[in-house]
Amino acid sequence: MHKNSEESKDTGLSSLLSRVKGKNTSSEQEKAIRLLSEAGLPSRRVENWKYTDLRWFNQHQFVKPVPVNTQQVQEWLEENVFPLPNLSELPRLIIANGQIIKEFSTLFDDSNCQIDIKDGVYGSLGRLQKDIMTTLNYAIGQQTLQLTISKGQQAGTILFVYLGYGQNDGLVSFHHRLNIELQDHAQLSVIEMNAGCGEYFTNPVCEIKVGPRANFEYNKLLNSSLESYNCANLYVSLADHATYRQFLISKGSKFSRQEVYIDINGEWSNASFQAVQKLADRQHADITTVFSHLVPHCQSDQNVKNILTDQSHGVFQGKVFVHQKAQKTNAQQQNQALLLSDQAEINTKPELEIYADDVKCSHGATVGALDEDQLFFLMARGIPFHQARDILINAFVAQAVEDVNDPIAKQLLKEQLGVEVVEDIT
Amino acid sequence: MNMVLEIKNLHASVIDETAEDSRKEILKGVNLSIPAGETHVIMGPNGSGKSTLSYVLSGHPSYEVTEGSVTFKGQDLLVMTPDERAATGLFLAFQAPVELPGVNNANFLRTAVNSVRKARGQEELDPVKFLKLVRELAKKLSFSTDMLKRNVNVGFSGGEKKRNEVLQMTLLEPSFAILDETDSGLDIDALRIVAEGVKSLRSPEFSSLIITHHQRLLDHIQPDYIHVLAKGRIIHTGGPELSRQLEAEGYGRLVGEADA
Ligand SMILES: Nc1ncnc2c1ncn2[C@@H]1O[C@H](COP(=O)(O)OP(=O)(O)OP(=O)(O)O)[C@@H](O)[C@H]1O
Ligand SMILES: [Mg+2]
Repeated sequence: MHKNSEESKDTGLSSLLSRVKGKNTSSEQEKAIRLLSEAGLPSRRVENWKYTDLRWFNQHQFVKPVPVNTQQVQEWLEENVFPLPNLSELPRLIIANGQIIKEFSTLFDDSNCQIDIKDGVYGSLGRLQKDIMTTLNYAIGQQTLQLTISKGQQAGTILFVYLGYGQNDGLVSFHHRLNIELQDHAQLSVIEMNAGCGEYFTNPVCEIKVGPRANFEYNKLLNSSLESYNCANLYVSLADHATYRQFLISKGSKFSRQEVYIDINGEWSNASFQAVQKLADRQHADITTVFSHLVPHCQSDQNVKNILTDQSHGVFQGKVFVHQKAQKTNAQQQNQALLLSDQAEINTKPELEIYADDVKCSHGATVGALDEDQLFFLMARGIPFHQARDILINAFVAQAVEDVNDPIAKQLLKEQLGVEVVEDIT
Repeated sequence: MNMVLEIKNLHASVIDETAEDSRKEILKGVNLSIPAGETHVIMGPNGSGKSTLSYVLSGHPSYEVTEGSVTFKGQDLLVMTPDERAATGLFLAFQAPVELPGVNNANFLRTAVNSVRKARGQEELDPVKFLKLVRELAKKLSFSTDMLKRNVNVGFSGGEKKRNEVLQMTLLEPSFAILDETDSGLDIDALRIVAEGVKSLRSPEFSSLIITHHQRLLDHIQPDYIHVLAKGRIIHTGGPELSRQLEAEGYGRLVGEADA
């Protein structure tokens, strides 16, 4: 009895785990709960969490999500999706407060994807023991959405929308699980929008298996509420001749940490990761990647750009691992930061771990303010300060979205970055 | 006389955070008045402060004015931001134009033109009108229209950068232009074209200040006065014949007399 009354005042991880303790169905879930209860959350003394502090966890009491008000969801769609013919025509999946909202999701009528929804959390790529947020997803998640693009299917572009709505009674959290499989020669492009209002915590895990000669493009826009906490772990496995391209724009969130693990398991495959973190106020955003080259003849490149104002804090930890078998690897990594205020901060940690000898690997990082001479040059040509500044910021980020293949995604990402869609007037 | 520009006892320092003594005075009491419609030339030894003067006049944030005044068209120039100075009619063709990776030249030019037009209460140019104008001017300057499609000055040759500066000058319709060694690094044809560009702007409402080390440009543009800037001050002023004299005897005697 005594214990129960204690629990009702619980905060942090234990208040979150109390939701599922004793109700476990699968062994994976049980294991995850045990791991978390024993180890707790990592502190900043843990190498991988040196720059990102999870102490906010303990300042909150976690509560269960209440059912979503579909009116709110409809209003969001009416504002952000329906008016744009390009977006509104895409098959879409709408998930609000962790629930699939069937009435607005048109993906189920679309025959290009096979969809399967299962109770419980399943997966094969996510590292239960090692990645804390993945463990948490296993512990709390309720259901797994499995999307399969069958052999040779060109599935075009689909839209995912994740909405979150805060609650007054405490911090509500969503632990969605999505697994995507592209079979031989299949193609899929995903546009993912994250938005919401109030204070909430999202912790989705996504696994993507890109089959032989398959082609996947993932365009993600993190534009969540400025009071929200967002973690997301992504696991990708590439078969031979596969292509994976990701564009990530991180703008929303009070706190975010996005981990990307790419295992290159098939020869002649290619992975590209382009990200922009555009932060203001006291926002904290962390991108942590591990690209593992496990076989020969593959290419990867990562470019992360940060535009930081006010007291915002950007983090990029990028690791490239090259197995001794992975000869002829070509891996490139670049991190750039534009600091627009004295109090903004960037931490970068590039890491190369290379065991093969015939490889081309490079990494670089640049940090700086806007170039004073460039700014002056524009102003001396009559362009007012704010416009001149925007032109330079624009030039800095534009390249990141220049290579997006999907035209609908490209337009959306550019708009979201405030990149003027520069028409070629000549 | 109606003065476009009046510089009185101008002192300016460079703010160099990396240097031990972070302030170094470069302009040490410059006096210079330029009437409307005239072409003046500044010559002087390397490092004497010619570019500094042009940066100070256009408002570069690395330089601080510590004393003196500058009146431009009857207004206090020194309180204006660089874009306000441009809108008021001041133009500086840079000695070393900066490169702007990721900024399309045509879009940059149009933004600049429309910014000053807006500030001057003129109608902004739509892309079609603008292109027609810029193509015409580019042709006159033998400036390949390919340069319009490229990023501002990125990968441009030295001469192409200078031509881009002259193109900007022509587009922005200034009433006062400073050309800081625009003639350096130009081939013979380009030099003539630049000279034509400056001459075509000449009118009772247009004045210019040409900074140069060479006689060549002055053969094309007959200036009204030539000033010698040395050690941060104008030490001598003469007529158009002064440049030939300097070419023959160098700056030594004048600088020596000024020091004495
Ligand atoms: N940003 C700066 N930081 C440090 N020193 C500077 C800076 N700008 C100018 N100076 C110094 O001021 C002096 C004058 O330079 P300025 O460029 O005005 O000379 P100039 O007369 O234009 O020379 P040139 O004929 O070589 O173009 C030089 O000693 C130069 O090194
Ligand atoms: Mg100079």
